[in-house]
Amino acid sequence: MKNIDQLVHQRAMTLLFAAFAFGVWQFAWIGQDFLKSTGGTLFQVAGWSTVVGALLWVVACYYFVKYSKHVKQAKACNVLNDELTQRNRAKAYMMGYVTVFSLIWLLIPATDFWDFEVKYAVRGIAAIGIIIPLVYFALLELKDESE
Amino acid sequence: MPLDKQQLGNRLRELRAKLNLTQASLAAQVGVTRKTINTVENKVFTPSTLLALKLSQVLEVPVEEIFYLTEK
Repeated sequence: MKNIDQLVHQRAMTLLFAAFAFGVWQFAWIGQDFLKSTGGTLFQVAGWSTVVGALLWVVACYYFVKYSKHVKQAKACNVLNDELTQRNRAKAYMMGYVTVFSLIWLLIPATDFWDFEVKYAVRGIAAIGIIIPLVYFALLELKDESE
Repeated sequence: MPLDKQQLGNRLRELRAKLNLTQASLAAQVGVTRKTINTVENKVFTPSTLLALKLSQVLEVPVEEIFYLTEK
């Protein structure tokens, strides 16, 4: 049975892996759609990256299930949701919110300067809105707070 | 003294040592992670009243013996 410190570390690493997998999957997918009309090698690369990203996401889901089994075995649900964790989660949500809000407000003037498909930018921002809180929370959990 | 010039100090490390408790064992007794105890000890995280009371129960001292106000 894993101890609490190991479970905290495992949670952070699982979230980092999930964020990476989700990023590869979503950004490659956006790239693939963006390059659809041009075709060529880059389109192929984006297509294969989408497949790899999707498979990585499936692996990440498997890690989530495996992690939840470890937590149940250790009967550590409440301990792993203590007040420091709740504070870190709130910080991570806030970071995600501020990032997405800022990017949306940057997108509005950006459309005046450059000609691009807003739909791709919105998909990218939506993906960032999921990745940023996951990564920030994991980094806060891994951060060494000792002085 | 204005509140923004004060912070919460604590004698957690000292009291824990008196009872021969590690951060992990104290954390297990109050139902938090070791990191939470570590961040409280290092004044990185201010605990809730509930956690402060639980700590006082486990360490068998009044809350004000564990926590005090200090200048930033």
